[in-house]
Amino acid sequence: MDGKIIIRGSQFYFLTVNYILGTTLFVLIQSVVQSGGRDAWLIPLWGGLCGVVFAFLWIWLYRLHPGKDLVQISLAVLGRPLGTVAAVLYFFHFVMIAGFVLRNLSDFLTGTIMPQTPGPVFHIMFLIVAAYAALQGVETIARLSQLLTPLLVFPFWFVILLATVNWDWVRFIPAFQPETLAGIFRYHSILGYPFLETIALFMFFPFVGHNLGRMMTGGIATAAVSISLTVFAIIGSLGVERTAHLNFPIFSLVEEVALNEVIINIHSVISIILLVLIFIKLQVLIFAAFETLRQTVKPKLRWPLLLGILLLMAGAAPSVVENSIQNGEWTRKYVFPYNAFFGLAIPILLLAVTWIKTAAGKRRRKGR
Amino acid sequence: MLAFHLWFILLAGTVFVYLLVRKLRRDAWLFFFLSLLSYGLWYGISQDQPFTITKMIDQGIRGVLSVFSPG
Repeated sequence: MDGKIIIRGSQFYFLTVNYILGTTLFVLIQSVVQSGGRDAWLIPLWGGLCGVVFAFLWIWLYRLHPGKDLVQISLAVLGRPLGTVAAVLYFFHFVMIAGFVLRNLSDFLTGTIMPQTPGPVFHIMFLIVAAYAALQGVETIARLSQLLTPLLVFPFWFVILLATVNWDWVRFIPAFQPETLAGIFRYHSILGYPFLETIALFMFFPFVGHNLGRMMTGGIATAAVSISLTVFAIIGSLGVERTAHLNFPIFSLVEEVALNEVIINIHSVISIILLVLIFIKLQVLIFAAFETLRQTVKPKLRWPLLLGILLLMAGAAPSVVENSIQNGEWTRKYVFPYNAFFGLAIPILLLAVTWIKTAAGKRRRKGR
Repeated sequence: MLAFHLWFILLAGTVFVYLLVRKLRRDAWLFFFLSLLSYGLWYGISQDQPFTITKMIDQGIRGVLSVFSPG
């Protein structure tokens, strides 16, 4: 975390893909299918396209302040008092996303495999392991993500392919009806979660060697296509009506697969993939939250700060939403505007102030 | 309930005092601030009535919108 370590562009690409997929594949599919019906697989594609545009904005801001992360740019552009306010807001944003990630994890595990275990047990266990990995630094996070990616991709698609034994093209007919297409563009939550949440990766920008822009946009595009293909596979195998009523459609899809009583219980593969993806996303968020406060307050020791962040994140997970109904309402109404404040409004403000300062500096130089 | 107060105050208090004894004031107050926020969240959880963060943001947004809405 000393700013000298460089991670390769390809490592950042894998980190971007895994971060976006994180909990998305398991949490979002039900609501995506409810909104988009038979054409729901188009939602992640237009969301991803917007995600690429958001990434261009962040990279533009970074190019104006090379070598600085989001917090350093805020402090440099807005000055110490306002920059600190922006940094603290980003800190709470990262803690809240981590709270959502942990809550999704415990909801999934208590709803499928371990119904008797209290949620905070999962939260604390995951936080300790992810914090240990994040404390090793950005290089460890990136390498771990790169190392784990092939172990996630091949089993995931193999299991999904196995699960398509009940495939029926009729489930997509009639396609591209005006009312379903309207539903696709009404579902703006996809922009907030997962694409605007990617702002946390801005904290990694100064550590990335080459091709930052290409790798980030490529990662977002790959993740969007992966989500779209997964939704397509689920609709083709389960149908819209059934998917819209399942809490974890991907888990239910795979749970029913049994080939000649030889290959059974393959849903455990999907569970492990979910846990690993959550682990990667949590590492990124812990690192981002840690660096935000470290650069703002500049404490001498790292471990008390990390301990404080862990206590806060563990407390945020059960407190982030009341129940699934309130979560659904939050997602429908506020996920996009809330994330847009952090992912668009503050970066645009930083860009605007940078331009004004640059223009004022040029005018002053001309005046002399 | 008592167990919650005991473990939390023991953990956070020990670290806070340790940092103060080592004269790391900035570290100590930063840790105190984070612990205080965590205590508020954990207190609700220990009473089985967690404070809901998104509800608070929801109310905040509605409050702001009501200020700007006509009538």
